[in-house]
Amino acid sequence: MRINLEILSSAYLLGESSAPIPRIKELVPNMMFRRRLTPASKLLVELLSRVEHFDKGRIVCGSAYGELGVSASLLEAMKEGSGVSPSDFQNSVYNTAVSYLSILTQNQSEILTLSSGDKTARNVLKAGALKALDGDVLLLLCFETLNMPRIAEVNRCIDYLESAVALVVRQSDRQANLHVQQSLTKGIPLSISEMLFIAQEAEKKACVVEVEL
Amino acid sequence: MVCNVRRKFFFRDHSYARVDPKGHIIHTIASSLDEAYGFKDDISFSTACTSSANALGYAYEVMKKGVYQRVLVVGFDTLSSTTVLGFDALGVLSTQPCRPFDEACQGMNVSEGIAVLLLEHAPTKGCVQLKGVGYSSDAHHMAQPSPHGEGAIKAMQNALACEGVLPEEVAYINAHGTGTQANDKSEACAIETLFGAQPFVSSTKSITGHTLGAAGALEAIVCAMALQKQIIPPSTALQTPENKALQFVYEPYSMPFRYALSNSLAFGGNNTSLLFGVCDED
Repeated sequence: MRINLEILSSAYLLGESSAPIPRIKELVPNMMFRRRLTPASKLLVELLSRVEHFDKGRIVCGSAYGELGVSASLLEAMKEGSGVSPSDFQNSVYNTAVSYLSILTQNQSEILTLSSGDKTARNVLKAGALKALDGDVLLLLCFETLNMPRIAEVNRCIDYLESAVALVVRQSDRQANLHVQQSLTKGIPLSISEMLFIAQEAEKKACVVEVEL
Repeated sequence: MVCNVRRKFFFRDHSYARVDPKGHIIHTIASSLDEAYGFKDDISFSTACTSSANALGYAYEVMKKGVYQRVLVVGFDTLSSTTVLGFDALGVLSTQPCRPFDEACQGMNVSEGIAVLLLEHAPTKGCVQLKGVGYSSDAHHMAQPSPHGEGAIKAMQNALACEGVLPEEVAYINAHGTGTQANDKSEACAIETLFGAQPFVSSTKSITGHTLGAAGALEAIVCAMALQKQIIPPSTALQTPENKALQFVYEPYSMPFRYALSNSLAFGGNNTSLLFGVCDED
């Protein structure tokens, strides 16, 4: 089955160590809440502020590695024999970032988080296309936050340690002018690649992308 | 909507985790199955304790919208120090067998398991079907449910709406029922608000413990078996319910019934409710 998605709005963030989120205090004025946010949560808050046509509604979010820094912190605490932080534990699940986003925006709609390795962005698009058949406008998100301590010891191929993409989409009967493919930007996590490609193309022209389920 | 449910489940007696070379542990099972059997597609969901309920929900949508005729759903979670120490840090573990919905509930028991369901689009009279899925978000707190269960109510309402089923037609609810006070109070409030005292309610986590990511699929199998055998499964450890209005089940109870609901509620206020029913037409 092929489904055409109109890209209503898009935004992306790429950072070699950390992505720029200069307005986080403005976007999350409550200091206590802001302090609880994980790096990925802050990326998604920034992205939501940059896209149009979406305030609340259904969201599909993907990440291959999830809250890597928080998970590393948990493991470090266990290795050192110090107590596990309850907030680190609750923030270690893959749906943390998008859940904070839902709390911040009081979004009570369906939120789905998936993780499919290098196929993550492609699967976010597929899941989004499937759900767009219901006639809704959806927010599709994917992110990676890999800048944990000592990441350089194991990282050989990713230049952008923080990255996130947002696409606001709806099903379209118009002919597609874009097919899903990987971004030409080098050094990005493959797990965000197809969505980044679409966001980059959407900067240049109005896009209707064909998604094959 | 017709998704016949065939069941198969087992518990693992050894805990292991295979990490693939790229470290994508969440996706390991799906990619391994794909490698072994060459499925047309695979996708892995990670939404904490609603993960496999969401996988079932996605399977329902894929079949309802005509993408595939058969979908294999696997829900799994393995015991790990991270999980046990994490829940301990949150102060929600019980040292005794858990007693969901009991006045004396002290917390949850973490366990591990794997549950596999094959859904196929082939309705036959009397078969068990996944008839609907409802989703919602609490938008309340990362680890605490909304006190009056607004999110759970919305998820259950959305599941019923898929098939136009009325609350009074649901005879059995397999509750999320972890045995933690916050979850049980909120969920009981949600069930009472939407259904009143009519449906039978139990938490089979009193038998299996909380298998976390596997729980949605495991409890879907419980609901499918309950409908197949027309037996309501009990909450085995329940003695004095904290909520006096609901109709809890203490022993297996045999009765004719048509619809059952299974709730899964997770960190981040992620709620999924699955509606199961007996097919009444060929």
